[in-house]
Amino acid sequence: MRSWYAKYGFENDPFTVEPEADEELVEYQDVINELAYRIDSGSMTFLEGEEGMGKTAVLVQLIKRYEGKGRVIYYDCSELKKKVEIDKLMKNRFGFFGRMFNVVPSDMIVLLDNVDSLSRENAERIKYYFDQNNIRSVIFTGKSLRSSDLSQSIKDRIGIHVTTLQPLSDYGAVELLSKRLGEHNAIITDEAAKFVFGKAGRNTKKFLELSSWLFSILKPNEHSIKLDDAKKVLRNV
Amino acid sequence: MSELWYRELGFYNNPFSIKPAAFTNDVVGHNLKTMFQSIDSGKILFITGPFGTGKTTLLKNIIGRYGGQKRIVYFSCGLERSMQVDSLIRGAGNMLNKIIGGSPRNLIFLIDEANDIVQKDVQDLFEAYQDGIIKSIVFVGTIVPSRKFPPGLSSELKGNVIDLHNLPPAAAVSLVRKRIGSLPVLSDAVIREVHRKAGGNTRLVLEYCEELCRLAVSRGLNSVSKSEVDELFPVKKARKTTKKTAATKRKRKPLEQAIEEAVFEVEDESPVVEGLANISEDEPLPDQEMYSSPIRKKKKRKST
Repeated sequence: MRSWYAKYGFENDPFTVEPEADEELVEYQDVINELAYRIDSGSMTFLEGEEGMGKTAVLVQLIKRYEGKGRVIYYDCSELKKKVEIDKLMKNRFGFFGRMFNVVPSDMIVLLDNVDSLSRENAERIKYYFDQNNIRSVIFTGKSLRSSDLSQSIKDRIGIHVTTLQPLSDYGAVELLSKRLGEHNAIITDEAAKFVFGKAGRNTKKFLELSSWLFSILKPNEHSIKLDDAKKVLRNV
Repeated sequence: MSELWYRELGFYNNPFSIKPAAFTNDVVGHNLKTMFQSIDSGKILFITGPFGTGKTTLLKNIIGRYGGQKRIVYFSCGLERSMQVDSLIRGAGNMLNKIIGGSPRNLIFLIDEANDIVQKDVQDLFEAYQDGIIKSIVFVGTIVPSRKFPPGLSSELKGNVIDLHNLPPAAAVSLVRKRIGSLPVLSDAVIREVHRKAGGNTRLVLEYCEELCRLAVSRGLNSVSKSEVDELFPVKKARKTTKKTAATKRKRKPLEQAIEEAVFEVEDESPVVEGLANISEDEPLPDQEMYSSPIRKKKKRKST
């Protein structure tokens, strides 16, 4: 069975939820600029957002901006059975010699994704390196700063630097789909896209998953998906 | 905002950095001389204060003064692990001490996050202090954990607790002046106002000043007036301000959406193509089970 997107010349599903660096984000440019400023000015920042809102996508954009200088450490704390060891991450910057002579780099940028709990040891390390200027700035992401398990001294250093990701507007959702579809952006009408976005609870990740599913059922072939079609297919969702 | 505001004002780095000793070790509003005197005369000190009042900065000052003499031992108790006083003392000694096995003398111990100190360590520390191996101990913490301290130590501490409470307004002014010199961006009156809004917390004062300068540069203002302070920090607590902006954004949304939807209605007049809508409503869709999201499950429960 050929997948629907093969007919349109896509090699992969255009609605993939994996964040990619080449993609320009819809509507989050302000957030990225704000975080880039926080990185430059040297502070700890917390990026709040629900699951699937695009926190990782924002971080990927930041990595893209600062890559190439060997300054960025990205770590996804939600990976199972893996413990963050900031100490090791920092010393690995200079490879073998770094570990041998205990050289710690300076001016690093640390991006910690999905920090819902951080061990005390790591919190102490980060605080120490931050105060010593080995780490220039830290960006944490998570559901919310209040519910996270960060120690008080870290929360205090974050202070007022909390940025919250707002859900996309309807217009942003339409733009996202048409960007993903490229020249074939006429195969779904804007009303249908907005309807799907509403069904997904205004969550970007769910929106993409739902559209991918919708397209795989309707298999649009020269007809565009209308609002009624979407309503019919998603009536039980 | 591609241009950094502090570059425009002629600073290479952020002058309001909250990192201790990022620029200058000078401490504002606390008398360093008496602190150094009591360390020199071999006393036990306890520096208390809420977060962000400059405890770590004070420690950095002590290290800056006595560093390089192989006398300073710094330990942070944040990990709730025993600090093993013996090995710390042995490690601090010079080569001769290590060979002969004798212990160094006149050490200065700096204990950070002393609230989490292990009780046994306090005992060991106090014994070493009485033996003269440790000359002076400086504890740092939010409050004095008096339950963990033996009575002898507590009586030694009497009168030597330095409480770093909030910054007086004049000190806030001189702190900011030290950071940015006499730049006209922030007037003394504005700094006082910021100090009032920040509740006297040193770190918050610096953070607020940073935001103000950023705003001033982005708007091309020569100096910040009180109205800008009120605009940026409407409520006293910082968290509430972020919430407020979020709320206003949410309020504005329905209007924007209405406009957008109106625009779309005009634009979308493409002819309806039938044929896609051939799926009958009664037939269950083949691939529907593939997608299972929590939203869908909820709705299902409702229908049954």
